[in-house]
Amino acid sequence: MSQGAARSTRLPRWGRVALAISLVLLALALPRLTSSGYAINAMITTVRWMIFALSFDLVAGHAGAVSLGHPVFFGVGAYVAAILGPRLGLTFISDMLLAAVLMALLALLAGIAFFRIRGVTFAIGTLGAAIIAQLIANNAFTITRGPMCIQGVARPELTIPFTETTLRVAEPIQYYYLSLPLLFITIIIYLALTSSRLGRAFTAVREDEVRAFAVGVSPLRYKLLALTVGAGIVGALGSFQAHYVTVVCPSEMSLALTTTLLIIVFVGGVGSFRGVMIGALIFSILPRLLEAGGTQAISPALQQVVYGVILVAVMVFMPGGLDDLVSRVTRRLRKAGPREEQQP
Amino acid sequence: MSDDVAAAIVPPANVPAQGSPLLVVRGLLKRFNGVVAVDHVDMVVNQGELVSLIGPNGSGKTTLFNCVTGFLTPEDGRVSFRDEEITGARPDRIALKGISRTFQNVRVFPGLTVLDNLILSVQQHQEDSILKRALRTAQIRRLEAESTERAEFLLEKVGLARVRDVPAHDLVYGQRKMLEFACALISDPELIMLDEPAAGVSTALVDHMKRYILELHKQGKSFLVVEHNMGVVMDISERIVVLDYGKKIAEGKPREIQENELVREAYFGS
Amino acid sequence: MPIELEIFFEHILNGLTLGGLYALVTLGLALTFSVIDLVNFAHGDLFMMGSYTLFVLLTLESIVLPYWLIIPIVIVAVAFYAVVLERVAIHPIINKSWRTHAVTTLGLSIILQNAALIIFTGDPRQTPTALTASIVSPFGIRISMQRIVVLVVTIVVFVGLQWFVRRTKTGKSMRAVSQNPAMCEVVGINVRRMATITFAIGGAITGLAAVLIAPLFSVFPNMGALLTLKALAAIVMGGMGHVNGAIYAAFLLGIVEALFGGYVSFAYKDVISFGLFILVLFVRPRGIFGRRVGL
Repeated sequence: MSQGAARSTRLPRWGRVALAISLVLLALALPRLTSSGYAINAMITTVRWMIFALSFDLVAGHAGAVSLGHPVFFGVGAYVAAILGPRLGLTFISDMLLAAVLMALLALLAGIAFFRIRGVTFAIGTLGAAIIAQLIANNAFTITRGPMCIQGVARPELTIPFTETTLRVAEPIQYYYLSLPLLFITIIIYLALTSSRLGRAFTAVREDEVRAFAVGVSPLRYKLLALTVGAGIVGALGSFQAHYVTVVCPSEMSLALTTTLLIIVFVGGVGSFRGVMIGALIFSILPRLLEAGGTQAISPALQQVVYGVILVAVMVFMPGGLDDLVSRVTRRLRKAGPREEQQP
Repeated sequence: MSDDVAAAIVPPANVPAQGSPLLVVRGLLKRFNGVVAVDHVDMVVNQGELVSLIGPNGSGKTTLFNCVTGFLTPEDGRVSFRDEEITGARPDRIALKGISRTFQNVRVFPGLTVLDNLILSVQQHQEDSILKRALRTAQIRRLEAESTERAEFLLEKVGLARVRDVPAHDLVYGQRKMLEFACALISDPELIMLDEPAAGVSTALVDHMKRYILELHKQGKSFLVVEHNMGVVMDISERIVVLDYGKKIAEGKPREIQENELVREAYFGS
Repeated sequence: MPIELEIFFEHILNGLTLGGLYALVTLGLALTFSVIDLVNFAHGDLFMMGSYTLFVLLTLESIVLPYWLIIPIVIVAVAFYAVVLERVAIHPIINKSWRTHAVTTLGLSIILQNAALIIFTGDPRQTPTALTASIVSPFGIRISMQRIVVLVVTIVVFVGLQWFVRRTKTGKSMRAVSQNPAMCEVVGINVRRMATITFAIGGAITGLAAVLIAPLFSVFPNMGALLTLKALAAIVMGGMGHVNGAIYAAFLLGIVEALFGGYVSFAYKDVISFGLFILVLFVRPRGIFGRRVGL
């Protein structure tokens, strides 16, 4: 799963810096190229899936704990914004911070409980917990209004520092620019946690917990780190989502989100930053391309079938995902020297 | 198996101590589903000593290893290291106290390169501050550079320098074995515990490893080695402890063990 | 009989039927899990496919098939579906980690559920048989014959499977594979073929479950997902790999759900069963029914 880290063809430092800067500029300029609200919504969706998938990959790809309950933190984060935020009189930013902190705490508790369970049982347990959470969201009518959803979550109002002006956010393009900082923060956290020393420790935990102990790595500690950070990020994202669509429904923590996450991360390349970003991009754009290509909108069910087929095909034929494919192609292009002979 | 466990307690080693005791195991007991795997074993590894642990298959050597290194919790008895009790401590804590180990069926991290496997084996000993690591402070960068240097030195020593950047899953068995061995050394541990270092390794490599172990031993490193290859055991050990059915049946210098009746019986069945 | 008691028995009976359903689904899942160490998240979808097969056979316009003939057809059909899944998607990843197993079979589950949604729409379908309508009333409790058949069959299948794995050559090979696949290769048992056979048997049991139990409930595309999870819960509660324990746990889940749904809250009955499961997970990670491993 992690061969990517070891084998990936890396650009030289200046190349990476240049690539990063141009991608940032592209992200900033993109909405200027279009006036269509539809396109900008697609961009927000893409950013959202990037954040969602990166936070999920921290847990599933790096700590190796394939949690099937990750969207719960997203959904509860959204409910925090919808229910707790107004009662506490919080603004947009503090609302997101509150959701992040609460979800990190929830994840810490959940992690302490669930990480006693290993292997596939962990996946089963988290799936059970996710279903419980969704059933409660659907049925605790007095709190969540169930499938009626909580409507009318406030749109963000931002006070611009050193001025008296208050910016009322309503346009998609404003939301897009609001979502970018969250994405950048997520990327920075993701990269900081997964490279160098921390990255090595995560690989250890994922590949062989017993051996990890022997080199002095506490698996629990690193799994909790990934889960709390991942949950914090996605909690903030849930809060953002609530302020964006202004409606919070139980479907914000549905298993459909889990399957989309699995598809993005595993098709893109589990445990790989590049892979996850590519995956999020493709699976945010693909449905819209399918829509645009056909004369009529493709049914969600057919779309899910296509996704499922892609996922299974990747697992069977290309376990390294698209990231591995990109690596292989670039290696082929550069004709990198043959690997060293293996005799001591 | 005898229920009369008290009778099984062998008096502490009557072997003269060459240094102060480093690892002390007293009355260690471990059972699996009622079957006694380690039966009130006492043993000592002194500072700078090279002790081998031998015995037929299933005699409890690996179980004893696992109890000492915290991978199993003994039901009774105590383990102390440098006069500090470590019985039942978490394995990562014990590792950081200065006991390194290898595993019977080689364990390296397949997805990490050879170099990363080595650096990982020392990084936790240097610092474990998540914040510093995430920020990649100057201290971290310096430690990384130092570790890389040390890793390269060791790779040279064990003959893996040429595969430095190869993921461990591409290594052949003997190379993995050497890598795991090097990983056990890189953190400069007080006590190195090797579980069958010579198993499945070519004679040339065994010789290489043997020489290196002796070299380190001369420099004052302490070893506890489980090994089946009697040639190796007799060559390197200062003292040998023999287990049979979880009990310590003999202890002494290689020659004494070779002549011991009980040991012969255990190995060859009367 | 006082009405309260009658209602109580009614709930217990419902619970036993539900338990029978869970037990049969669990049995197939536990079989593949213990033999080839793979958790198939698409297992419940085999039940769904069996149920729709039944639905199609019952609603054929050209020919009216009798129920006794439909039963073997559905069993064979689901066994066939299971083998196809195994050959196409599971066989190639069988030696990979549990993560790959989980993600791949979840992918299969997505495909199957949505394919069913496209073919049959999301409307719940009914599959009544002659047996559902025939009611017997011993001791004044009204029971449909179908429920009695379900309970009897669950027990028969369970006992039959025990006999199969202990007495037949194939069954013994399966046990051997579950205990030491590497050794089996050495002594000439074809592990890969055993995996296929295991899937076929698991599929057949699931087909039997579908053809008998679907008539008691309605049939819809994602009915399998919840069943998979109930079966997984039962397996974990029973102590991974301990098939008997899983069966007891399946009945326990069925009865708890029926009683809770009947007396406390219908909406939260699944919360209770999954809550119970997670509680067991934390308190007794090795399951509540002992820790003997193996078939």
